Amino acid sequence: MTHDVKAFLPLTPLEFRVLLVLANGALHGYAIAKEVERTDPGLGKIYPTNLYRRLQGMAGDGLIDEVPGADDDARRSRHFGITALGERVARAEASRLEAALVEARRAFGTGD
Amino acid sequence: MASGTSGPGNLDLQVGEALYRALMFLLPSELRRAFGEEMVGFVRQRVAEGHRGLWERTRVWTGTIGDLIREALMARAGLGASPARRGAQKRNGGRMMGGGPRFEQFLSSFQLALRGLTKRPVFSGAVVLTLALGIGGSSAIFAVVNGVLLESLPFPESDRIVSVTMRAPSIDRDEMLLSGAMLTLMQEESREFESVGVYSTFTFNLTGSGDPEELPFAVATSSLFNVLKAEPQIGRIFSLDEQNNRSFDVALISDGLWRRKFGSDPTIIGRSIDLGGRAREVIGVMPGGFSFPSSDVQVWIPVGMGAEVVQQQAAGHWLTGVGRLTENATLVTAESDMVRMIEILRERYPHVYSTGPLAAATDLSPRIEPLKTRLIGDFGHTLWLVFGSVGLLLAVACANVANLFVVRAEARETELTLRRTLGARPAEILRLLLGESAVLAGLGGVGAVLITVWGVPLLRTYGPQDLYRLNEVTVGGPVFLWVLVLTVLSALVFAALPAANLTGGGFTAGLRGGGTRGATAGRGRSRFRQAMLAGQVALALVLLVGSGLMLRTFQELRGAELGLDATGVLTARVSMPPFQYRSPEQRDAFQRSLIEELRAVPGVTSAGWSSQLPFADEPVTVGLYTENLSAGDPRQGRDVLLRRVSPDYLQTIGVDLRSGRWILETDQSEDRPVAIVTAALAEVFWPGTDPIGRRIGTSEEGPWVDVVGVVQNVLEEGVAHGASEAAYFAAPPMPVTSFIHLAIKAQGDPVRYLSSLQSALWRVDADLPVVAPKPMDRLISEATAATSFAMMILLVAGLTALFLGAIGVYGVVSHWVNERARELSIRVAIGAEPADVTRTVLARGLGTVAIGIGMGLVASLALAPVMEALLFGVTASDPVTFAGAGSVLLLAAVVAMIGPTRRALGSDPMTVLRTE
Repeated sequence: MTHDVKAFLPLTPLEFRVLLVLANGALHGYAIAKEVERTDPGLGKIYPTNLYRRLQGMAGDGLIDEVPGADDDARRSRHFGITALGERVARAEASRLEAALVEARRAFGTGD
Repeated sequence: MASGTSGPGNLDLQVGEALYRALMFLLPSELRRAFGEEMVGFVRQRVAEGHRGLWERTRVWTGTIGDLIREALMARAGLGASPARRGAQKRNGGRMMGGGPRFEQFLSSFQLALRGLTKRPVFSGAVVLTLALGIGGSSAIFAVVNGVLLESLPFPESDRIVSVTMRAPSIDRDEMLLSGAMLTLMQEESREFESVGVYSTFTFNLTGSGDPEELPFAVATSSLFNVLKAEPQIGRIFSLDEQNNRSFDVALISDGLWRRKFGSDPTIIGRSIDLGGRAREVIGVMPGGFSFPSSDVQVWIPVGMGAEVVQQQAAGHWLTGVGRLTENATLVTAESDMVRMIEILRERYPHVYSTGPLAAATDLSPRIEPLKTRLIGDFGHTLWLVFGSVGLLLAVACANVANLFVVRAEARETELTLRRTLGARPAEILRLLLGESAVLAGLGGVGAVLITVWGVPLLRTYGPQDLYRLNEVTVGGPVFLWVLVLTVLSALVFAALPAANLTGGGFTAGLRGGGTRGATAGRGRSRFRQAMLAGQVALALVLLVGSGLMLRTFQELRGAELGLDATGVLTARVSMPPFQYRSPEQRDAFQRSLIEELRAVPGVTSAGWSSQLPFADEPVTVGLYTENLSAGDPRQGRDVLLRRVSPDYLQTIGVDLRSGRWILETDQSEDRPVAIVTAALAEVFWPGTDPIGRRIGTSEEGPWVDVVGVVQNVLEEGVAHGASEAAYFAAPPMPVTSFIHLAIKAQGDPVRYLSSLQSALWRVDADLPVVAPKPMDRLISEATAATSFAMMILLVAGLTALFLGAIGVYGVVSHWVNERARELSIRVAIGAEPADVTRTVLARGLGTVAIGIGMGLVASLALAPVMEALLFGVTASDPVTFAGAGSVLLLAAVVAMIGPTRRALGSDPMTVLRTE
């Protein structure tokens, strides 16, 4: 089944961050939250219901997938990894944001 | 709490997790099933991870729970499920699946409200805290009221079950139990009762399976189980044969006993267990929830009363009756039915009721009440009172919040008017206001749930332990419904207040007047605020007066001269199995060697025993006669308290001898029996003369017992009864019963002597347990449990109301000062005396407070009859308490006004005018 990646755009900031974080390797829910909080403090605290509802939605769309967890994880949490589709969608979102950034620079001058 | 591991740091984790799990049911089941456990694990990790401070933890919890509610709403509306779905929704022209534009609007006003509220943390915090206290306090008590008073007893159609006994006012008996003859008669003759059963409770020792222990048990008829419609989970109830014939040794046991002592062994049926020194065959195990007549009764055995015994014991009224009314019967028809049967009883047994022992009971009448009323007893009144007082607290809290909302509505008038002018429809503004009050009330409700979940175990632990079913009180559906209803109501009311404010001409006035000055609408609102404040002060005063009265009562109870000295006294009960200690001589020998053993324990200064301890539940009274009075004297046969005591008992519990001598070891024989009486008894029988050497007895013909000593008055029946007329016998005719109550006086903490007491007993009889060991001062505090429970709740409610009242005064006066800042500062600038300004401000606030106090005093007087039953040594209109409560409230009001007054005096006219 082929997917038109545009159908998934725009991603919410949280969804985008989750994909970026998972691009570095599979993680369980709480670790994803910690990583997102660390890399993008602007998103504030990540709360469980919000996160898992997103994860469920993204898994349903095929952007992420459940993978076997690391052996050292005593709690046997469920781990998530990014799928090929997820990577393509994240790239598309990145270039969409990039285009917006270029446009913003043009409109307001090179503000950096 | 039950689990020993839960420190205060873990309590919020347990409660929070429970709440989170409960709220998870709001989520779509798919999400809950897929990730529920993951989410809980997430929450645990987050809380465990370094959030030490209270504030931090509170923030984590409110954030987490707020997140859950928000996501649940969005999920239900089909919002934001997944990127692809969102895209699809957008392509469908913005229409959402599941929800609709309405819902989206609602969500947006919800978010707007959240944003607005977090910007005003003091206002939001005050509202949430006040609501949480008000609703939470009331729902915690509601949980108890619901579990104890409202929920029907756990028997089918339990509203038809009544307790059946009699009254005999002419012989001063408020309650007279049934005789076997009356039971037989009722079973044959009654028209209004479907079935009638009887029971009576006793205690015996269970031996032979682990440590010996004492078991309260009930003797019962098999019909008792028909009345209750209770059936055993395994086995059967007793047959009529077993009920009527004493040679059948059978027993029913409780589910609890079956699990605890016999490991739920299903082969228990038919097995024999040792109860009170006699082997009995277990014929059935009652189901888990069955407890009757109290939760400590574990065994039921047949009453063993055939027709012959019924005839022989026609005068023995010792059975409590329980009946199931027929479908059409009422308490009234049941009573007249029973009046008829009492007549038949009198006719059938003339040797009992016309000439015999009960001839004086000329006015035997029925006493029928709902079974629940009997089981709950006097606590019902206390509980309703306590419930009423937390209801008042809730009203105070609501008045406070209403004032906060009105003040805030005024402050926002300009903002809302601006929104309106810019094109916001009234519906949108209303939605915003509703969103705000819903968020605040919702958070208050969550706080209330936390307070309830945390408070109910406290109430279970510290509430009066005698209260029927208190241990079974849980936080369940009805309690959550109670919280929900109050929360939704407050959300609606508090949204309506500012909305009414706006429609009442506020729109234009708001823009014209800069929102803070003058205008008639402002005056109306100010009047509303003052009315709220006055009402709040009045309610707070009622609560303060109530708690003041309970405090005085408690003081009086504690300060009352008990006539004994409980320091260092340890008490316990020992029961001698009647089948083992058959003869009086055997029992006598047993108690003598036990006292010997106890005296030998190092640290024990004296030891004795009595047939009953002070404050016993059902004190034994008998008619007392004295040799020197004529047979016709009304004092002959007067009901007095009768105790059989050992020689050292009275000294051990610290009673003082007024005249004569103590009972000696040599007095314990039948040859020359002696007794000691209290001063109150001596005053009745021999006023003004020396009681020593007088002779008393329990019948007109003797045998006579010499009075050898008079002791000071002892409040044997509890403080509220006053000085007891009591006689202490050292020997027969008062026999040693199979129970004795030990008292030992020791150096230091009496509890330390518990194991020495047990081993002393085991040296005499290795099969006997020490039962209900308690320091005597605990016995005294338990006797005042209902009072201290009511006092504790009223005190907490009163102090909270005082605190809220002070905040209310502060809020209203402070707002008034802000409103008048211009006028006041100009007055100061043109040279008004600070004293004048102070007076103006104080007069403004105190006027309202004084009105409130006045109303509160009147209301308290009106409520006095409700309080009266709970008071002791103080009247419900006690002027000292009233004055005290009024002064405390006034003082709090003045303190609350210090800040605003300072601001009024210190304001700089230039700053005020510039900001206008």
